[in-house]
Amino acid sequence: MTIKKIITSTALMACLSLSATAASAEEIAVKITPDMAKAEVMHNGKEVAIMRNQDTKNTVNPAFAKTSRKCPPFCIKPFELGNGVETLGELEVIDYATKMSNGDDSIILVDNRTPDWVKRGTIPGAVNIPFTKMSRAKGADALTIAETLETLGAKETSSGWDFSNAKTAVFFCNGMWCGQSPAGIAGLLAEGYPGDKIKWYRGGMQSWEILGLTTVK
Amino acid sequence: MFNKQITRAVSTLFAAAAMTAMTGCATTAPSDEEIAVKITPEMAAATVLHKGEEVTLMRNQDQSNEINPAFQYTSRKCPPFCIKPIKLHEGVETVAELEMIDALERIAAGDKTVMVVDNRTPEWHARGSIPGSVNIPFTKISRKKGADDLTIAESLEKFGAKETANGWDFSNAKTLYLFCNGMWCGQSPAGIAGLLAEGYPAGKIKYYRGGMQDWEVLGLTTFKP
Repeated sequence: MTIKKIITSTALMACLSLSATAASAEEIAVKITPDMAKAEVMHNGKEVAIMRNQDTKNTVNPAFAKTSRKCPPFCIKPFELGNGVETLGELEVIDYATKMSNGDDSIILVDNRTPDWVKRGTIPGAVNIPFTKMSRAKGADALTIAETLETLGAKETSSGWDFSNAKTAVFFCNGMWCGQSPAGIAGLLAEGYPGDKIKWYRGGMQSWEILGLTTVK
Repeated sequence: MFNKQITRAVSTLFAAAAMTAMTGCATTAPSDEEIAVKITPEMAAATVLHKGEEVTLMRNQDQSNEINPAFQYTSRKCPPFCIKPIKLHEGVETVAELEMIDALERIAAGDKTVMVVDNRTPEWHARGSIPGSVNIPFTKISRKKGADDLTIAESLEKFGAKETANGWDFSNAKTLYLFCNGMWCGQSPAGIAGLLAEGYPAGKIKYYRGGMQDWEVLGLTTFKP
């Protein structure tokens, strides 16, 4: 049903021909799903079309071709992080990014990596909150944590943090071998952020890049 | 709960690997200290059974190694190579590498209630697969993809289901971990849909969505038949 919504909104946007740069659906041989050629999202106030690289000979960004980074620290993560945190794939991330771009401000897509990583390319629609700003265990002080929680829609009250209007936050980092978003999520949970408002895109940039999906710098 | 199960399994794996190293049974596996690219901080390698032989499952140790060229492509045509959702059906759990390794280790320890199934066609399977997996192509578990009664019956029997006068009895059916080429592959999703259509319990079906794509990008051990 969520995919249908994306299709509908994509179709609508195509009709309005909002995107000058994106190829028409008929020209797109490498779609996202059979029914979705692209998805329009907002990135820093500008419209960006998420689609797949259309060169069928294209190979993965060399930064994501390596199989054997040292573990530790680059260890394989389980499918689920626990505490009610749902794991997402690309279609679910695109669905959240589309809803957010259509004005649903109860959703936020967060690149949890340090800024030097983000500069090399991120998912359109994502804002950067490094994991170091979400986790006391990773060095965040009370002020930094408060800033982060406010960005995520939590409210400080006399009796602690109120998460009733906290956003549904989708976090990612470099992928299934990356510990940054798991550490950030653990930090948020420690602050009392509800697990069911936290989503984890485990595949992260590794899967995004291997599928040739649009990145922004 | 699942995490606890993993932790337990992981420590079992570690103990098994250490024991194997001590008894000198594993001739190919380096000792844990030599392994810089582990699977998890606590697990350097796992011993799994492939066609009755012990195989050490670990990650490629060459830190400059790049992904198997067969899995370096970003842009296979969609359709047919479209991105799959994270969840295929209600009740069918999606799993990843650690859960697959846990299943393989259980099989190696003699657990007959679990089976890891490479759902790809034999020519794909021949290019390399997960040690401990058996190849049952999706075409043999889905009527929609051409399987006839006899083929379906053969597959279900391999999975531990029993044919009775009132249809199939799945009470002793194995928990299946199915995979194909990864998140852009439709073979195991088609196979899983076929199994569900036969009444196979969703709770006994696990989907390794990352499949060979993620297995290869993590430099995990593969075998060629």
